[in-house]
Amino acid sequence: MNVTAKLAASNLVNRKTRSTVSILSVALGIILVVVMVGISEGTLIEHAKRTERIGADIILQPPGSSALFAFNSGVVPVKLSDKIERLPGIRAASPVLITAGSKVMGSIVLLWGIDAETYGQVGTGIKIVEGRMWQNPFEVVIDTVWAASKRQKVGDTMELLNRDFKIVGIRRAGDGGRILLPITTLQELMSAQGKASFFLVSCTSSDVLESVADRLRKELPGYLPVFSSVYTEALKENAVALKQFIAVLTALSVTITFMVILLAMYTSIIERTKEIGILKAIGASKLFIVRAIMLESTLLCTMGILVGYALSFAIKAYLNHRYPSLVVDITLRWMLWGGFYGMMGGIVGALYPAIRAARLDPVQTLVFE
Amino acid sequence: MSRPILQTIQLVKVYRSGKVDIPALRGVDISIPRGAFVSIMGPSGCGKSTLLHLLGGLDRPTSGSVILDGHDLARCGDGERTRLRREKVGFVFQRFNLLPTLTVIGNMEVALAIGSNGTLPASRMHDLLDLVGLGEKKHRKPMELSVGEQQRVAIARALLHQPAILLADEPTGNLDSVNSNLVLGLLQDLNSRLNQTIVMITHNPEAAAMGHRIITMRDGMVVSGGAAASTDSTSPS
Repeated sequence: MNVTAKLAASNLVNRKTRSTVSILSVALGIILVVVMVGISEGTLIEHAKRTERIGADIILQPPGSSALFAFNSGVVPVKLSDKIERLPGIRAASPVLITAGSKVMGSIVLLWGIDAETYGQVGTGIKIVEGRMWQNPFEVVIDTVWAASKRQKVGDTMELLNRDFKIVGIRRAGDGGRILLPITTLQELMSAQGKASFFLVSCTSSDVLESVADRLRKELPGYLPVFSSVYTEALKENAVALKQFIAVLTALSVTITFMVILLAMYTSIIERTKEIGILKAIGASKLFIVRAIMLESTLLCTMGILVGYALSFAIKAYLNHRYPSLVVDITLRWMLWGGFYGMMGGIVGALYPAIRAARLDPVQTLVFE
Repeated sequence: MSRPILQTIQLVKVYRSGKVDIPALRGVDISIPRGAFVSIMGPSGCGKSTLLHLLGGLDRPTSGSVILDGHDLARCGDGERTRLRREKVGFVFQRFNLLPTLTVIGNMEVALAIGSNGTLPASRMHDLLDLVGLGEKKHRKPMELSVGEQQRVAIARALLHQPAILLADEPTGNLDSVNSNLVLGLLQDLNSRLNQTIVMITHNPEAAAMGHRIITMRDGMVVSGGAAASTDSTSPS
């Protein structure tokens, strides 16, 4: 091992508390980025993919809406359905009303109000694995993931939007919402009678998708037809709030790492003033001292990053176990970015203490006690 | 007469505390020939340690010159003084000043890396540790050694890059008489066998007597022994 590395490593090993706290703090920054981005992006992408898998060809969004239609609920008149279905190339159209923010059994979940009949026509349909579809306004169908994670079964009741609903069916998970209920019931509960969030549209063939989209744009000015096949990408592109959220997380992570390393290395320099004096007395150059301190900081950050990765996966495993419906999508891309930000924060944070140490007066440092 | 390895000319050092000037050295002239073993004595506060710091290039004088092997340290920048210190000076301190987190050999390796730029073989570390009688304890940390052993490690470290001059600041100040005698014997041996030039600050007259010459200081000035004598390079009888 290189002598400078040996010196840095020995300082870390011999100052266990400082090293441990610093490593955990850097790890916290990594977790912030990796896990929080994993949850937010994962949830968004999982939602998009489930929408894609419904089987519709086009998702028709209202004018001025973001792709995050769930937060822009109930502005599309359901009666447009007739006009849409009359357009050439369109086989069926189904309104969907989505609302978020209802805390159901400890989890925030999107409630999907659908018209069961047309919903089945635009996509692959609802595959009931237990029970049946609803026959009354206050009956719901949940998917197998929700049923497993919340230990709910057919016949149970659940409170949605301050009303009790009876679970009458469990359907195969993989597409659409985890909790489906009649669109008319949801409209009533949201005071959005006759409204939907968007339309699912299916075409007569894949060859007519472009022409159908053009016709939709022409006949319904301002409405945005998004092809189901690129819906995930469109959603990510338009998720401005998510990007801002990630930017804030990243800034927070870098700041945490910067502050922790700055403080840790600064404290370390004060603690080791005499050692720095010794190094200077035996002829260490400023560069040698800067290098030794930067290397120590890099080692701290590297360990912090690795611990952060390990803890991120541990947190993901815990969350998956505790909340099976929660998606934590830890990606290599964000692991690398998180590591990069952590390392940058650490390097910048160590720079000032390193330069300060290199500039210390050797005589003053040698008499330091 | 050969050029002295170390010489000071009208060396002045004044510290400033607020608006008050505190003179530490008031025109010191000393001359140390190559191979000499010179002791510096004097009461506390007379400027011995300040002089040693200036001789070793750790500090800059307010005025005057410190000529180390032909280089005037007073005219050198920080980088140049660091280089000269690395190449030509070995320090031994009263409190040993070993790096506590490293083993004996780790301390030697750091000094080797700093001082030699890879030009000295690693075997020199082991030879020097054998020379000071600590070859068997090279994997111990400083705190696992006696104070005498720690000082011997510090001496071995100081000699690693074959310095032109060894500056020892109260090397026996923290040692009992047995260890003091061991360390002084070692310094004397280094001087006589290896012709190592040594300047040693001490309060102890017996220790000072080990040198060829005693420079006595008082109130920032040399009161005796500043000039080199013809006997400087010969061992005391």
